Amino acid sequence: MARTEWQDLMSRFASLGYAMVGYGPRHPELPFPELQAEIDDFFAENPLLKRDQGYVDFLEMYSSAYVEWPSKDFFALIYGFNPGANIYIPRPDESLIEGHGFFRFAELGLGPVEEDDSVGIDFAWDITGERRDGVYRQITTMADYDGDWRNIPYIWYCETFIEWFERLVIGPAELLK
Amino acid sequence: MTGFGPKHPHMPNPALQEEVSEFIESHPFVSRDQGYIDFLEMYAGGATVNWLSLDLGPTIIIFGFTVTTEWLNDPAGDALLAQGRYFRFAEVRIQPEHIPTSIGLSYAWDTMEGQPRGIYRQLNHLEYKPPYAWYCETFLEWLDRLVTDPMHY
Repeated sequence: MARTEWQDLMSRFASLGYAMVGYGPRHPELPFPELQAEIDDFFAENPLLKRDQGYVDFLEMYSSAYVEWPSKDFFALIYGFNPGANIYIPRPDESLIEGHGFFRFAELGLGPVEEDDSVGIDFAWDITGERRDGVYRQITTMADYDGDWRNIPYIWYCETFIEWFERLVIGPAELLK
Repeated sequence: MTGFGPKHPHMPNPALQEEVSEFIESHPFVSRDQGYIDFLEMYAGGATVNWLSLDLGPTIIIFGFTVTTEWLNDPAGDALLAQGRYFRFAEVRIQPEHIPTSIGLSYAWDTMEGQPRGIYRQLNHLEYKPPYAWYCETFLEWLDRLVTDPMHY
């Protein structure tokens, strides 16, 4: 995807409100080359994740990104390489490798956390190489939660990171569809 | 990481203009420093750098309009007010080589009329916590010093 298309996409992400975005080694305006080695290490350990060029480009350009509304009605985290401000991929607080061979790369929350009508949505890549390429989605509602989110399956959702991101920037509820 | 304000140079988010303007209007001491106003209008959400947890450098947080930095438009209005008069807008935490614990630096505007304009700083250490003291003239001077030598205190 061309640089201007990325800028347009990130502008729409910023317009979700209360967004923060990082600076990767190939950031279009303010590159931070020191992060390249860390990103290279990540992809060396997880070579299957390099299949999606949009995901590689996102991490190398923006490193990570998140939105969190003060009303607590919506948050979106795209994990990356900014410790403290977001899930830091090299040292996450909890494992990002989930049962049955998925690597979780993003999460969303709709509605105040822990209220019955709140919804959590996790997004992951297959790391077994045995499933169809693309983004997988796991939807957790507090009403259905049985105490172990690992019981909720990941279902194939869309082809590419860019397609996923395009849906995200439409608005909070879009990724529920 | 940085946020996106209504005057961000590449990805402006006009939706935050009202909130930023409201904050500037309701905090008159802010309007004295054009650099700070520019920063809020361009980056709104503030800025964070966090390397201390990895022992790789300082942690820097410039507060803005995001949940994960301190929230500038705190509805209670006093969470950022230290000693009843210093309005905190940033903090830095560093780990100097010669001491075992980290040192915190809080930066603030003095809200009291008649005081010298500029940025005030307080050093926070386990063993001592001196009062806020005048540090430099402007936000841009402060930011320039910070990015030139973030480990300076």
